[in-house]
Amino acid sequence: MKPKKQVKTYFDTLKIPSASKLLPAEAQQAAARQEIRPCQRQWGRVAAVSLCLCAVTIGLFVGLGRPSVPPPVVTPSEDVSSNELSFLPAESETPSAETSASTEPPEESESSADNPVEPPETIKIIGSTVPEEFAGDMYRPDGYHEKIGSALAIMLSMNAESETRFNVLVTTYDLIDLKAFLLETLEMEEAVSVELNGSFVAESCYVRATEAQIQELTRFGLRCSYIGSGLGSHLDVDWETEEGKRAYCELFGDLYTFSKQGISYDPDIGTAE
Amino acid sequence: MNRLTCELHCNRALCKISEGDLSALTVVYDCMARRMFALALSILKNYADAEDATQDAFLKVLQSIGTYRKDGNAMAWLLSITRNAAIDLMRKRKDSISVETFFGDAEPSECKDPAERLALEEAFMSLEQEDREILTLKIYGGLKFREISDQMGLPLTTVQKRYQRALQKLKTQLR
Repeated sequence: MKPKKQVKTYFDTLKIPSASKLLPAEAQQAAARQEIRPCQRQWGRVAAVSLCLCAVTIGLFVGLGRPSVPPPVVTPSEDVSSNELSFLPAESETPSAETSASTEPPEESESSADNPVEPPETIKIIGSTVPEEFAGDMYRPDGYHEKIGSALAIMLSMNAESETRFNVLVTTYDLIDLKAFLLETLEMEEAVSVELNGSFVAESCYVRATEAQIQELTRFGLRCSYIGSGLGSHLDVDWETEEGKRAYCELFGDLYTFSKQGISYDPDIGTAE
Repeated sequence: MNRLTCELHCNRALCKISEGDLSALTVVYDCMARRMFALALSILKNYADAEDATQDAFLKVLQSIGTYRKDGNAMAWLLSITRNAAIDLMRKRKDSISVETFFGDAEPSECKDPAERLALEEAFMSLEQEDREILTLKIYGGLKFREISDQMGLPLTTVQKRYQRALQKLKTQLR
């Protein structure tokens, strides 16, 4: 069991002091007063139903008291009583249901946070295993953290929307559980493990992150690279226009692009320009 | 009860209390007592003291209900009150006696494996007080790192790093 789960289970199973011990007397008295009222209402209702039943039964025996006539299968009294009585359990059930739900140990809503969406599969990186040159470095805008790839920095520099999410490959050479770190510590919605040529890279994950999240990732020393879609035409690449830069970033990313096999890692020098 | 439901119930209950309906404090108890008690216990490391601190916290909820904003974060507000109550009590205790008492004198839990429970207690207790607080507020209190950072007056990245480190330490010790 993970320590996080163990801590949670520990507190879930710990016996806590009762409300009578923890709550101030005035709050307990107020709650007690409130409990009496519905009780009185219920007794009133039961009395009314009983009277009704009595009246109808007497009516049946006295007013309609003919031995030759078979007793009706469904009497009006039964209808009345069933309608009336149907309220009783509903009324009495509601508070007890609330109580039982609330006195139970808090369920892990956080279970979704504890066990975030499992990736369908690990993504593979296919291609070169050594760092390559990247033409985008020449056009890298100033002011971005060194851990942010040039293509990602270019994409960020052209982005005006804070909610825009970018396809980012997060890499670290520290020995940490990167996926858990991204999901639990940085509270990212989803992270998919990335595999390089059949073996796990030191630690690498694919995430869709906003600019703020990318900045946060770099604060923890994590390398962020843009994963291009791999789509588009080389003819559209133009370093003078935003559309042209975007075309470049989509074609090459930070050397990472999506492909049928997963993610491709290829040098760009000599092919872009 | 998930965080959203708990937040909603607590917020409604606190609004009712501010309008004079003291019975709504039972709703707060139902939703939050376990979380508040867990936080007090992680700070004070002693069941009886945690009980006193949680009791104080409920009393303070009534006393300071005027400061609660209707659109406020109910859970964070309640845990913040509990934290302050626990720290106040810890200071008082330090002034009087300096005997360290651990979870050992706690009420028996419903945990199936006592050995596992003991190992966890020991590992958890070996963490620094602030690390225990961060773990409890995050794992059990359901607060976000930003809320914990606000509550404890620590930078966000510090809280995140300490959380990660504390979990790692716990994992190593429980191996």
